[in-house]
Amino acid sequence: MSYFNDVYTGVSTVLTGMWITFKHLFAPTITIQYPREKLAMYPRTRARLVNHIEDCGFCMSCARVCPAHIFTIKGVKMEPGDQERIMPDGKPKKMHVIQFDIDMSKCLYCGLCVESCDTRSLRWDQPQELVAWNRDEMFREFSDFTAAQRAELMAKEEARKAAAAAVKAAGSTGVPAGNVGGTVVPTVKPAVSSPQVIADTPASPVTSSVNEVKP
Amino acid sequence: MTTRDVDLPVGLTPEKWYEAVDAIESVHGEKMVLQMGPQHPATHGVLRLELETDGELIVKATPHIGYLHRCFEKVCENMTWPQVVPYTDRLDYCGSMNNNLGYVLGAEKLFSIEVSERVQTIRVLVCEMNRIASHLVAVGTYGLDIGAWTPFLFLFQAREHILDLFDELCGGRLLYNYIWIGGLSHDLPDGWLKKVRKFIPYFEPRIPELNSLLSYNKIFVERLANVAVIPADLAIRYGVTGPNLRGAGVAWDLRKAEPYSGYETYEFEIPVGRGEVGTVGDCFDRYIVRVNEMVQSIRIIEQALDRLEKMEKDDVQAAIPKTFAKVPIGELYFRTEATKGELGFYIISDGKQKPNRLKCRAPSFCALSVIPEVSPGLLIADMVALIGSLDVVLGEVDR
Amino acid sequence: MTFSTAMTSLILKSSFAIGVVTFVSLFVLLAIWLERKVAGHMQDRLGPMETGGWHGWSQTIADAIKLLIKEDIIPDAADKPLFKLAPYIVFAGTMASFAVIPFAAMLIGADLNIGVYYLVAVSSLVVIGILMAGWSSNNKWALYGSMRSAAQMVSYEIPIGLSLLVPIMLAGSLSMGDLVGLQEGGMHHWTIFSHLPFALIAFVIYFWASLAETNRTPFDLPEAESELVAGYHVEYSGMRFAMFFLAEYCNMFVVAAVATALFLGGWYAPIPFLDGPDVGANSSMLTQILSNGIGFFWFTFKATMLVLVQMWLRWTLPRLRVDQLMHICWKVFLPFSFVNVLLVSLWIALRK
Repeated sequence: MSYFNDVYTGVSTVLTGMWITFKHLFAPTITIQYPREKLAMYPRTRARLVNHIEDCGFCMSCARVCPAHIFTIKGVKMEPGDQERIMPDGKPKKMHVIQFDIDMSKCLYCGLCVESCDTRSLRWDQPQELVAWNRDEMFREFSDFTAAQRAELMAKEEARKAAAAAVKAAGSTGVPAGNVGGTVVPTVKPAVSSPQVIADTPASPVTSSVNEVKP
Repeated sequence: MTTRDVDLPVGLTPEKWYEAVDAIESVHGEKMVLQMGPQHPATHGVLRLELETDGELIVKATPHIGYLHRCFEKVCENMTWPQVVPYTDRLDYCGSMNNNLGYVLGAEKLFSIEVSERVQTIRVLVCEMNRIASHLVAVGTYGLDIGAWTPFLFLFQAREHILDLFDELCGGRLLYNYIWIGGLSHDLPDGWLKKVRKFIPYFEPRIPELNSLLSYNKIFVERLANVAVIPADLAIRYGVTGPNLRGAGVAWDLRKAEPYSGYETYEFEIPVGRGEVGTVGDCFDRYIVRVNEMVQSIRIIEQALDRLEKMEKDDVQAAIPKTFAKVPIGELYFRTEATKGELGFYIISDGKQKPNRLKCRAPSFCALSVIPEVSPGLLIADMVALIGSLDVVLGEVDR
Repeated sequence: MTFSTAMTSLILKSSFAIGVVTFVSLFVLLAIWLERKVAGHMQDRLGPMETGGWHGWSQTIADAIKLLIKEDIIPDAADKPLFKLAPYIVFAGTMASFAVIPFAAMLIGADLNIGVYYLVAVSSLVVIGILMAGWSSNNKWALYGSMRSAAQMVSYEIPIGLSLLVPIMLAGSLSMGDLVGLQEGGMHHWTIFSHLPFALIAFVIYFWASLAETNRTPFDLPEAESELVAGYHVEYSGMRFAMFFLAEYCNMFVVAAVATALFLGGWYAPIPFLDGPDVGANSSMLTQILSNGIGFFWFTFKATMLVLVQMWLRWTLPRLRVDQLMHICWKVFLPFSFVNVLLVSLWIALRK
């Protein structure tokens, strides 16, 4: 008897399943035709990091919280003559960010940097396509200084450093070595095994135009 | 075949007889070693199974792991306390919220942080949604393993809704990094709770549909009933937890047994395997427990929604320490009921900015260790059914 | 017979053969597209939409071209002659079946007096091809696939044969033309309905067993994707793989066509009113073409509907296990079809 029962349940459940798929045959589809139709992205979607460099105050908090060390940041102390800018957090801008590179190929997309940014200069943007043909294209530079300006600032920096060193050599009081000229050696040692932020620029693929963000 | 004191047929010398028997035995006993994986569609990632087979019968199965090893525990030793959270996402990538919660609760215990009730409720809400999403993957891909394509895509539709909600909530679709030590990364967006409300009536009819399309289909039932039975004692001996243990008929759920994050205030049941179509603890029981757990998760979500809608908005990041400068010294073990079972974090702190040691007790790892025990005598097709029913996620096994 | 009539006959025959091959290729292209569309819509998506414009109609053509220009990889350790030969044997076995498929009253390649017998015999060739493919690939998965396939096809020949016996006994002929010819005159004359319930049971058993014969879900164990990766054709690529693929879809059509011819009235319309004009000995060429054209339409229409049902089943059901497959064959289909044959013979004896 159970034999016929098995046969019966076999047939009936198969028919039930067929009925369900048949109903779905005429149900409206839920997919979209991607290149022609696009879904809206949510404002919080973590797709690509973008730094609004004019708001960036060189606080290094992003580099400090980043688990993957994707930031390469270099700053030079502003001189009194330089243009003053009040940052969104109400404090004046003190540093020229002469280099702010993000290597998106290393990024973890955890969003810790964006949340830690006090001035909200580092944000997510939501491009639909995140395609890159090679790794260099995932290397994004944000500093708005041209190579010439950067060289000039670096030269000034060097000069200031040399001067400070001279002062130090002369035996006068001077400033603590770590703080000389506001190079990136931060006085506050970050809790993280403070990464390449201090290191020199890695062989950057784009050296000529700085502010260019590759499409 | 080894008994040699038999009455020989006429005209057959014992030597000839032994020769013939040996010839048969040498053919019959020949085993074939089959490497199943690491790139096999049914091993759910990069699991390699070394199968010793006699025809289609499996004589011995040895899982080889490590193809997805990322040194999670070692990496964590080099990360500050909050930086570990995004790495826990990547353990069981189907249930990231639950992983976050496990670690975060452990760390909060270490730092003695109390979070507000609203934060707790949001955590429960997102974890249960994530549990549904994870079980949808488990159940859907299981159908795929057994050969049914369509239920897989139906279930992924529902999962897509949950992922969209998470995307709106925290910006991630798979790896959320949402639950932080002392709070959450974002507050709920406006109107988000309404969207979750809308999801429930959409999702509820999906379960009966799944049941009639797949779960109680005769072919599916026949494939799973009485296959790869993991009895309760074996499961406990191997430390199998979660739906796999409950499928063996043991009503053990940490949300009930050791409630955390306010789970004790929610009403829900622990679905257990009852041997509906075969033996208790067979593949079907492990499967149907997941289906029933989704129903229970919906109940919890409804309760959490009711509470959240009544609550005043507060700062979800209020309890996050500004700096993690003062780190207590000590060690602790905190376990939660993640989607795959008991996810435990053993944390040793020596007062530094980084954990001295962070050991992760992964449920999938324990579930995987049962395979050599139960696999002898299965067919290759049953092996696929077994792996699928254990719902191992290799990201968690290898860590 | 003069030389010229022999030549005419040869030309006619060969043009028919070319026509069949063209039709089959076109049908396969359509069927693969249809399968993807059916699958897509059943799963709440659309299937191919881009290639060729309207609903991706030329997707299969593009795929076929891709397969044609792909590198033909032969594994180093393969048994090369067998490896190369296998797809052609599978394909030839399938194509040979088309010789006796009655597309219309006059569109039969060869109306053999042992048509059904020939068909069953020739379709067994496929097993040899699959065994060859699995063995010569020198791949364990392929070996498993081909062994499963052999066991499955050999077993399922028996219920297929037994269920095909029912219409043969009812008609008293093995010739395809005769078998269809007896079902003229509307739906109630079709074998499946005229001899209820025997023919209906036979039809259902035949249809299910034919799914196993063509390695379709729920009996797709030889290529079971989640178990054996791709089964017997795991090592094949390019055109040789396309041959297997082509053979699979041809086979689907063949079994559907046999079901149509033996059970569903062949080239006759459901209502006699929709049939083509009657063809007599002195009908004009035009009438003949019209009549056969309409017959051809009905035949392909019914067969395509059956193919659609095969697809429908494929996208609904999970896969069976090896032992269950055998269980269903030997313990369900076989007893049922045996009893069915016995009852039919009794009934025929009583009717006389």
